[in-house]
Amino acid sequence: MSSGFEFIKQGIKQRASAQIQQILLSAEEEAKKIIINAENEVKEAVMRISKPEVMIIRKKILGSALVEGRKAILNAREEMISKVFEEAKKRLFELANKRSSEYNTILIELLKEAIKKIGEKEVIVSGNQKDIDYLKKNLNTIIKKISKELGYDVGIKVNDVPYNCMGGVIVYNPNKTKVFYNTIEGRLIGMYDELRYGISKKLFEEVR
Amino acid sequence: MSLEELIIEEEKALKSIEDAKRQAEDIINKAKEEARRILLTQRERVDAIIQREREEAEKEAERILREFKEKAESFKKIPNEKFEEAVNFVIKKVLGIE
Repeated sequence: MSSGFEFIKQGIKQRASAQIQQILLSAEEEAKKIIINAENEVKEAVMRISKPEVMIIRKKILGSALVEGRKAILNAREEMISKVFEEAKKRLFELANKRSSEYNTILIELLKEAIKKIGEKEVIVSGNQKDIDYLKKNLNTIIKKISKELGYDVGIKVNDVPYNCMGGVIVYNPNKTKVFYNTIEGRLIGMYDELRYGISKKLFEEVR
Repeated sequence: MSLEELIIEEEKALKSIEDAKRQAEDIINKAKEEARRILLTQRERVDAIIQREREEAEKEAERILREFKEKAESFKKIPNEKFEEAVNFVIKKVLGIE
């Protein structure tokens, strides 16, 4: 009888132990699930929230680097273009100041071009003192040459009042309704875009 | 060994099971608490990611800027003959003798 009771007692113990083990195991598993779910939920939320914020930040930081970088390139190009303009102006001034026969020929060409643009037979021409002096001194020869080249007789008078410019001419009709500024400065300004493009091509074509 | 002893043993077993249930409840409550703590780290993690990405973007920006500046410097190192060519181009154009 006693061994029968002992057997039952062991059975009770074993059953209880198994049940306890099962309860604790289930609890551990559920606890693990709760934590994993929380982790996943946070990971997902973190990705969802951070992705657009990161995109905005990257765009902002990289965008300003690109703008600054492009600005540096533009400034470098501008610096070189300006240097070319400055050097060209310096040499043009020297050329006009030296009064070489090459410049005189150019002056007459500038005058002819201006008369052609004005499109009148009687014109008045002005320029800096040196150019006025040259034109006055050689007026008859110049008139003949231009008339011949334009194919009609042109009357040219020289205005004694000098115009403050590097070189070249200002031509106008007697009633001053038509004026053509064919000075070196005027041409530089007038051709500015074309010159910039040309300079840029010559300087940077292979650097790109 | 008697029947009373078996009853006592059964009561003990039931009590142990009850204890285990309480213990299990405790385990789950602790896990829930831990889960709440984890959920609270969300902003912290977002900030950490943003900070990390910001630092990476800043490094990338430095590299981009360095490359642009190098390129800008190369624009300034124009060979003299090209410079002369450009100056002569302007002079000829302005004087109309090209």
